Amino acid sequence: MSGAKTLGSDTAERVLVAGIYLADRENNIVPISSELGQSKHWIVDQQWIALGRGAIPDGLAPVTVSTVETPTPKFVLLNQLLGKLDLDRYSFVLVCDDDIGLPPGFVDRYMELVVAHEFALAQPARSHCSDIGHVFVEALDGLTARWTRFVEIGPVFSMRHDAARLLLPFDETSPMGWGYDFIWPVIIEKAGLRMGIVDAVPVDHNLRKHGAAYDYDSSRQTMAEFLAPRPHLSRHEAFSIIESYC
Amino acid sequence: MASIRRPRPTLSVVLCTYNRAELLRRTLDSLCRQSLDKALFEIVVIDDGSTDDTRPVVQAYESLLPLRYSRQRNAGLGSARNHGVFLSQGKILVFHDDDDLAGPRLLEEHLETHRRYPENRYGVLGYTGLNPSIAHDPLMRFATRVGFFLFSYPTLKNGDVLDFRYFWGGCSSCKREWLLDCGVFNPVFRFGCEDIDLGFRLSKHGFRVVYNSRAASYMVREIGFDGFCRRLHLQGQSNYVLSRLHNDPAIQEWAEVIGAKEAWARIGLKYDAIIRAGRELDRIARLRAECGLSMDEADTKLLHQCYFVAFRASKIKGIVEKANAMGANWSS
Repeated sequence: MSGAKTLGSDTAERVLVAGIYLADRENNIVPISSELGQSKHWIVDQQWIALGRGAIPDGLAPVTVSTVETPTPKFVLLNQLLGKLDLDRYSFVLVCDDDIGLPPGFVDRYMELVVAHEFALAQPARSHCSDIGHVFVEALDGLTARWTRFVEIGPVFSMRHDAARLLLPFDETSPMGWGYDFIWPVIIEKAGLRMGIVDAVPVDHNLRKHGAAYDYDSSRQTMAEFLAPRPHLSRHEAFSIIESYC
Repeated sequence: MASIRRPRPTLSVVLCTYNRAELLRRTLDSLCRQSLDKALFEIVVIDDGSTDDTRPVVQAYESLLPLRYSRQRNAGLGSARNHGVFLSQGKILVFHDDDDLAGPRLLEEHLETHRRYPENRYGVLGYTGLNPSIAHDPLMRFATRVGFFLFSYPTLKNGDVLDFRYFWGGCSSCKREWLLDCGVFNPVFRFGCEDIDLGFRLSKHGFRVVYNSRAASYMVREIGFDGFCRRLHLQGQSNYVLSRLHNDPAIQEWAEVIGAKEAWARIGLKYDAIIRAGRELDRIARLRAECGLSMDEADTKLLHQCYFVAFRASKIKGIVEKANAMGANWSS
């Protein structure tokens, strides 16, 4: 498969992990960062922003590229982070939150399936024990992956270099990302690319209660206003499998 | 492999199947003869890891029906139905079983009822009868018309608006958007209770089920005595899981978990004898039916008693075994 070269060879490809961790709240950043660093087939560069006044955990200093103490929306920070980097060096960008549980061997298995199914934009499914916002993203047990019309804005998603060129910078009219996931399929499909969900490596997302960090009604309103003038899919259209793989 | 590139149908039939190729062929045959315009519906076949001829059987109908086929590793009914829900393009989802023949107006009647009840919160229950090939089977008649171990249609009348207990998986329909908003099947249920569990969760959002007896389908599979006992054993296991998921009086009553431990203490030692007796009486009843010999009232009563006790015992056995496997604290 393309991209799955043995680490250390001249041709091994790079994955950029870009993320934000809440330094003053309980998080899983240490095990997440450790797991992401275990890849045998990809060169994984981690670039994290520490948000809040808490201390940087042991071992995280080398991958913590900046500290932001004032509350700042996630996608504004990601734009700042990604805007400074030469993304042409990377085959994929993996955007990652700090409150997930990754299965062992996550990067290699996930990337293998993303590459095999040619997903320009993708996410791992959420495990059954996760807090689930959209039922569509919960793991389907009999499947390995599915070509879909929906990839959510977090807690983890990946963009291949060509998709990253289309989706970056993130539109800061909706700085928390509300609604991106109903616009992305229009952009991705118009470009003739594929997006999908990888069921074989579901991630846990249950550290913090869904929506606990934000006002749900307000975020819905923000999302509706953001989507109204932009081409987007309805929920009925978006929550669809185009093709599934077992 | 499924392909999505055709005009969106109004209605999607979700048909999950596992190693029933021959029955599936008859089911697909019946779906070819629908009164509803084929442009308005699609059939979404989810092959739950079959090892028989399911795939070639489906392929044979690809030119006859608006058909999508998708395979998954064997994962059970809950997962398979969710797979079908997400593959479907129709706004209305009809869940159909692979051992039922569709009556010619099945899909049109489901659609008409949804048009009369357009709010998302309304689902539809159709009627499932016995195909003439099994209509005189003593066990199937008992299960559907006397003991109600399989459906309870004689207690319903056309047009009834019912609660979650009547969202019966293989003969119901609902709006796709409603599921996307309020919840889908719980994959923990591989067989049994996946429908009642979902119906119960949807009921918290106002879900109701409208009964349309003209949306008819017909069972063609003769389950047989041992098959029925196995089915109720599995059902009992699922009932226990359901009872643990929802500590609600309506679910506790439906699942029949209360008192199961005490009941098993009374009948557990006699279970094998109960099953043997039921099996033997069933055999005799079938022989008599085959010979065209009628049964008098006393014999029929005895047969039904034996069926009832055997099936109930099988369900209780399933409940108790599952409870023990899950480390139940029966005093709570």
